Amino acid sequence: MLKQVQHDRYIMKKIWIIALNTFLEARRDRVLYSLILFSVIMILSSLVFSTISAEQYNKIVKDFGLTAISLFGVLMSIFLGTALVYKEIEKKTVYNIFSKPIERYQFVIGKYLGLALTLLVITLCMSVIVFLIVLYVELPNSSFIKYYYGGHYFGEFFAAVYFQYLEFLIIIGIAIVFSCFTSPVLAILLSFLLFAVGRFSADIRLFAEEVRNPIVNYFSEIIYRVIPNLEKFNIRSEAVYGGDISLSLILNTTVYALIYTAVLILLAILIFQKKEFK
Amino acid sequence: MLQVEKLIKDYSTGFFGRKTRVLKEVSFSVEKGEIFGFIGPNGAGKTTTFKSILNFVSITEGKITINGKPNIDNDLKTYIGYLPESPYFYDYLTGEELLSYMGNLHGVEKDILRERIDELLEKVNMAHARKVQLRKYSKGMLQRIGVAQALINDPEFLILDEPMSGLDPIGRREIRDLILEQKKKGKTILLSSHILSDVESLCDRVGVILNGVVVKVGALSDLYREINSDYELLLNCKRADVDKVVKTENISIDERAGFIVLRFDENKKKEVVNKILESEIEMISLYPLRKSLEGIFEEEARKKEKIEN
Ligand SMILES: Nc1ncnc2c1ncn2[C@@H]1O[C@H](COP(=O)(O)OP(=O)(O)OP(=O)(O)O)[C@@H](O)[C@H]1O
Ligand SMILES: [Mg+2]
Repeated sequence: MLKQVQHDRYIMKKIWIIALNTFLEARRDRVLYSLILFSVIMILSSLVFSTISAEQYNKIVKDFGLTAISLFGVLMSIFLGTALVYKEIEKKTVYNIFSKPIERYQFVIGKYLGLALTLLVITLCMSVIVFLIVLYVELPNSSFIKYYYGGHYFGEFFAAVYFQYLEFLIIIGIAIVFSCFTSPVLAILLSFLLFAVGRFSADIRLFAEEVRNPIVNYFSEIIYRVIPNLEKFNIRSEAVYGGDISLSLILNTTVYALIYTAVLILLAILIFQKKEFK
Repeated sequence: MLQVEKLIKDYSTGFFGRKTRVLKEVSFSVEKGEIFGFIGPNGAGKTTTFKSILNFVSITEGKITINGKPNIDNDLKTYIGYLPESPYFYDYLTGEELLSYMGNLHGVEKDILRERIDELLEKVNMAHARKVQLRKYSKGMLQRIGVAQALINDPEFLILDEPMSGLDPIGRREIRDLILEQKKKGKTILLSSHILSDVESLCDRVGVILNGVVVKVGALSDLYREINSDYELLLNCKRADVDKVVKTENISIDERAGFIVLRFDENKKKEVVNKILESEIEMISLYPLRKSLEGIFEEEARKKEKIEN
């Protein structure tokens, strides 16, 4: 019994070691820094609007900030995620890993967690920056905004950031699956394609219903059921204009994201198990 | 320590999965405590054999066991140290960080690991570059750090793919000393090379692989004995004197620095030397030419042809 517990802890430790190394790699990645720089510039550029009118501005800056987080987070998830496993095979660093007592699933999970951790840190930092800007603009008009708009919706803002992070978790999962069997260029294309379908899957089904063609309907139904509905993670308007974000919505969405993520990681592991390091 | 029995490996190449047989028949074993040299020309299949042993690729046929256990048992790797050929590493890590990462993956305890990193960096002469990122390392420096990471878990069984490649003469000697030191500690070492001078001063036994087939396994001295080597005989005389004494077929005659140099193979040795001794000619020296690996390979290729005909 005790031995089993120790053994499990040992397995987790190795996954964690790989995750931390992946995080370290991201921290020394110059491409990532330029992306982060861009996103910060984009967020800061929303300050330009603050001269227009403070009442309007509080919406613009939140919307702008959340969009920037979403855009750059998706970019980073896809760009870093598609390189995650492929790069290690291509650069032959897998020889260093798997000459050690490491199982392949430990490696895949470790790589995934490493990037998830990276994005967690980035998302947190960006959201704090956005939040500070929001505070800077809203506090002087605090009573006005409460009266006119019904509130600051700070809680909703962070809920939106959290939902956004859940979406990143799924996108990293998609990227790591492709990363296990195809080159980054193709993997990036396919990931973007799936991402787009995921964001519009509800629209696609609506469109298909209009067409009333059984074959089109059939396929749209499959897409709707298999591909994650990424619109579920978009509660930006609630964060900006207010709206009901219930605890059960948060729980349901979390479970939805975690199940998809788990399935994607499992798929990646199954593919990676079979891989020959030639 | 290691048994490789009738190993066959097909690589599927191309889009339609056409198969090429890279390893056709690889059988050899490495005994505990010995240094075993795996030699063969480029593309013979040395690296592929190592990758099969470490379970990086699945084997098509045959059997590999380490300490009596099948090689797919991952726990075995706790006792193995591996140096990949032309080592690639995480170029964003420093030398020290790499060793620490590799040690952690092995599950080496913190205190022991810290000590061992210092010790190994010292041993491969890389202490000065411990805080330098690997992207700034030269090829030889990477090789050295590669040897260090192979030793990070104090392995019982070392598998080194061309440990001397890319090293300067001093580096070669250092790595050789390091390997011998491991042997003294009772460790088992399997290393590959295509340079015979590396293995002959180091290995207890060698296996020769040619074109995916292990054609010979044994002590290097046995191997040499079977190969006819060439000899050079240095004489102090005139060219014309030589012609009078020996028949010149199968003998090449040169003049070098005022001496006459005869070159012939094993079969002619007795005859030529006797004739010269009987004559008035002054003999300066007789020495065997260094047998090259190519000699062995050619010999084996010739034998094979004979069998096939
Ligand atoms: N990934 C691969 N796909 C297909 N064939 C391969 C692959 N890697 C190696 N080969 C082939 O397998 C054969 C053996 O290669 P291997 O790398 O094992 O040789 P080697 O003995 O290590 O040579 P060297 O001394 O150059 O390192 C070669 O003919 C090579 O063309
Ligand atoms: Mg090789």
